[in-house]
Amino acid sequence: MSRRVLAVIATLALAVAVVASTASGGGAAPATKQSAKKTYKFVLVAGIASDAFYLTMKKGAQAAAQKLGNVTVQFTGSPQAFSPPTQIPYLNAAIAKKPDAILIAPTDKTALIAPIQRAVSAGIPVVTVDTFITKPIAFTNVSTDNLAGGRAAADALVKAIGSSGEVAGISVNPGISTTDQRQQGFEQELKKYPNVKYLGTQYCNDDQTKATNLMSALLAGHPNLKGVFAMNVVSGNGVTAAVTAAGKSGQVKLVEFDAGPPQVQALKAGTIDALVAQYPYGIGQLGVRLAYQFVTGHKAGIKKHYGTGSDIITKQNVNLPSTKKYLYTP
Amino acid sequence: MREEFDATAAAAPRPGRSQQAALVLSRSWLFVFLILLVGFFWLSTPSGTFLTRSNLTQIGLSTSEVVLLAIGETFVIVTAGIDLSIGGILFLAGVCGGEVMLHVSGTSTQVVAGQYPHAALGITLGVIVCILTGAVCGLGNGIAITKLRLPPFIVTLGTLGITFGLGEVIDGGSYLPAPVPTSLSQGFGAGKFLGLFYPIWVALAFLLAAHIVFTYARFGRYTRAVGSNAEGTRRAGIAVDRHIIKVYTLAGLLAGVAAVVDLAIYTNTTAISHRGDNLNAISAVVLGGTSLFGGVGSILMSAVGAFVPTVLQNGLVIKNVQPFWQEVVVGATIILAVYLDQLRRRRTESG
Amino acid sequence: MTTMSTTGAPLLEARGIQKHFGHVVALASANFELAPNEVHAIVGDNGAGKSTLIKIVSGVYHADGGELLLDGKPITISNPREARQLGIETVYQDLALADHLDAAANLFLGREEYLPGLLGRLGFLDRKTMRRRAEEEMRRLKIGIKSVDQAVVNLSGGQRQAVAVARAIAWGRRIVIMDEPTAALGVRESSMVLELIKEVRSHGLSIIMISHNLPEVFAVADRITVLRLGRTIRTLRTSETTLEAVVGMMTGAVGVAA
Repeated sequence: MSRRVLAVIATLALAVAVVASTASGGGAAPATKQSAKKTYKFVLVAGIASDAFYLTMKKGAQAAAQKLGNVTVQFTGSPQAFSPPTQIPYLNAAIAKKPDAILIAPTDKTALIAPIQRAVSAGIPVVTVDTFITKPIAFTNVSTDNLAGGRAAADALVKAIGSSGEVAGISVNPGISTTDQRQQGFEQELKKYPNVKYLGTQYCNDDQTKATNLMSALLAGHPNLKGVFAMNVVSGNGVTAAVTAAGKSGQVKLVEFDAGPPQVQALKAGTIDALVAQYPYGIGQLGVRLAYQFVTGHKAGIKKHYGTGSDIITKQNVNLPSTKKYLYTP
Repeated sequence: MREEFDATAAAAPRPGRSQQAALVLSRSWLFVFLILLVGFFWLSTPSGTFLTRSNLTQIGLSTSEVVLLAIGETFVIVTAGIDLSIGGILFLAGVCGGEVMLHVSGTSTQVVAGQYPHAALGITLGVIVCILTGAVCGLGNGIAITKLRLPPFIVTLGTLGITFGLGEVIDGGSYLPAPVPTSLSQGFGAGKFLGLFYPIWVALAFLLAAHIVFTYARFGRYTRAVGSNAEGTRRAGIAVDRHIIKVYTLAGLLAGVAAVVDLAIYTNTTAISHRGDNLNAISAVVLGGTSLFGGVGSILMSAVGAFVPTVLQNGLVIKNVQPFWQEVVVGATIILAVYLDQLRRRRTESG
Repeated sequence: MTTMSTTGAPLLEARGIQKHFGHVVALASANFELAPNEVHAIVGDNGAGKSTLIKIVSGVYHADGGELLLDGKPITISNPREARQLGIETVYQDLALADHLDAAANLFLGREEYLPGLLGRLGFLDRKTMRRRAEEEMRRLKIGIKSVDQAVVNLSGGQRQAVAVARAIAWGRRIVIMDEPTAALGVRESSMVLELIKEVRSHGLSIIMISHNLPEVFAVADRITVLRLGRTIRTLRTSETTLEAVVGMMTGAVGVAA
């Protein structure tokens, strides 16, 4: 008998825990004191919720919301993996909430079309941030100009290796718009350098261990490899680990996309030679502002795409105040 | 005296209705828990958010794959084995079937441009390849376990790596060159029959068939016998090794079916999407009350176990809970589930 | 020398059986002869080879040498299924029950009843019939368990033994082998099993019983075969010997008979 009571208590305790955890909620506290004014609820669905890039984006989004006064931004997304099967359930839940707008970084440019279409058909306007989908159903897209970023990476890498030698790229998956464009820009720009031999780009599936293995194999197979462009944080972490393990830090030049705290540290330590920093904080801010503009009826004049800048950060300029805004602060 | 050889006791009626009901309830407490969870989210969220047909059907759609995997995993775990490789089998089956679908449906320029002139043939062949690949991988597991006499944990850990690796070799390390034909993704993956998506019907059909076989057919009884006492079952003249091979082949085949569903819903497949599949399936089975030591289990409860994390995830997002808390809550629920199941077991096994 | 039963030809004979596991010799030369309708005990100290001998008769092991005869004709028993087909059923020391299945399922394990028609050919079980027949069998053998539906792990030691014995008796057409049938049981439950053994003999079968418990052997067995270090020492009628004498043969105080 007493055990049954224990079981009931345990179940209730779990229920209480679930309720209690809701108190820690994920959204920014609305600053509004005017209860007469409508509060707009937005949901930001990250590509992966445990990445410094998206966490910085969240900060920018919530700062913009606070400034507007009557907007709340809930941040959600899968903490485990950057992939459609892990992201779509979060998007579905966001749609069920019936928010006033959804900002989302789609994890695949075709797989997310149908789910985003559902949001739009349910009357929820969608802003795609960072990545995009190939069907223009989102009312706008805010992202880094990844083509320009790729080109800038090529320039920075060639400069670092001394204008001649073998270079390669490590990316995530074809099908992710952002990294695809970085690769495109990189390859385009490399054509300008006749003495640089491009060995191609390999894909690590956003798996750091795989990136390390790919890089180690590259180093072993190409002893004259002089430079690598890692097109996102995860590939960058893997590449750095492989280069360090092979004892080639400093010999093989690395340019990496994104400027999260570990990347900045590595830059200062000399393991990475240049970072292409995006401006996720700015993307989050602009995304929220555009969404607010849309839902308050000022749709006219919103463009289909807004590019935010990127910056090449090197050891020389990392401490300058003008660079600081580009560093990611999760 | 010979009181225990009492003839009248031997003729005693089977346990009374209320006793039977209590037994059923204690075994299906997770189902009650799920209902309570649904009720909790219904009451604690604004109306028209959680408990809407569209939200619930979406939850059903994204859970249909795990249900298929959990069915196969239940049979395996009831034999006192385990299959860590089903996520890899699903991925490899999806890659093989997907590649066949694309190659047969049109030339590479055509499919990349979204045209699939021979989609019907391509999809049919692709589905067959998915299911066959899954079955063959499962067969491999079963043979290695019985003939090489290796523990299932180790064999399937090896197969996990092999299947993911092979899948990436075939795909060149990335994924399928184009999305699968639209008649599969839109017609089947997003298509509805009587209000439910086709993949949900597929999962329900296999669930029902598996439950019937597990409970009423020799295959289910032998599965439980092998898990309960493999040597004793062997001495009863039953071909235990052959049965174990069948069980692992079944799990692989179901992973192949899940691969078809996966391609239909997500139009493509990557390794990273499936790294967590094996633990999702095993969690569902454990939540459902199946013992990791074998001999006891329930297919239906494993399906309920598959829904608990997805319902939790959905409800907590609607309630504005940070994504990281969800992992905590799901993990705590698993521990609670196993604990309650142990309590129940100790009470009924008081001899 | 063995003593023949008064009714004539032996039912089962084992001549010169040898069995080794690697370098370990379990049976060097075992002889054994079972008469129809008798309870025949095999006794011996640890390592004498008793379990090995009966596992050869029940098809779990293959003998390395010697021969087996049933009704005077030589036979080979390659697996448990063949033993059962010859009418030999075994209750192993560990009972070999599937704990999580109920008594009815255990009784019919490997010999399930199927539903008629197409469903049966697809493998669907006739659980009702099996349950009913299990209850009948329990009644016939005067075994009382409250329900044949409970998982056998929930039954007491004696009840589990009863289920294992009932299984062997229900299917055994000629010979039932029991390996240490009362080893794990208390006094009252042991006496119930011994009653059951007598009950089985009264149904016309023969029983081979391995036991460490000599008082029990003397209580039910008609004849006793003593094994020591893989060899048969003697076979005697229970009524013509004493417990002390048997102990002496088991331990070697008495020499091998001519």
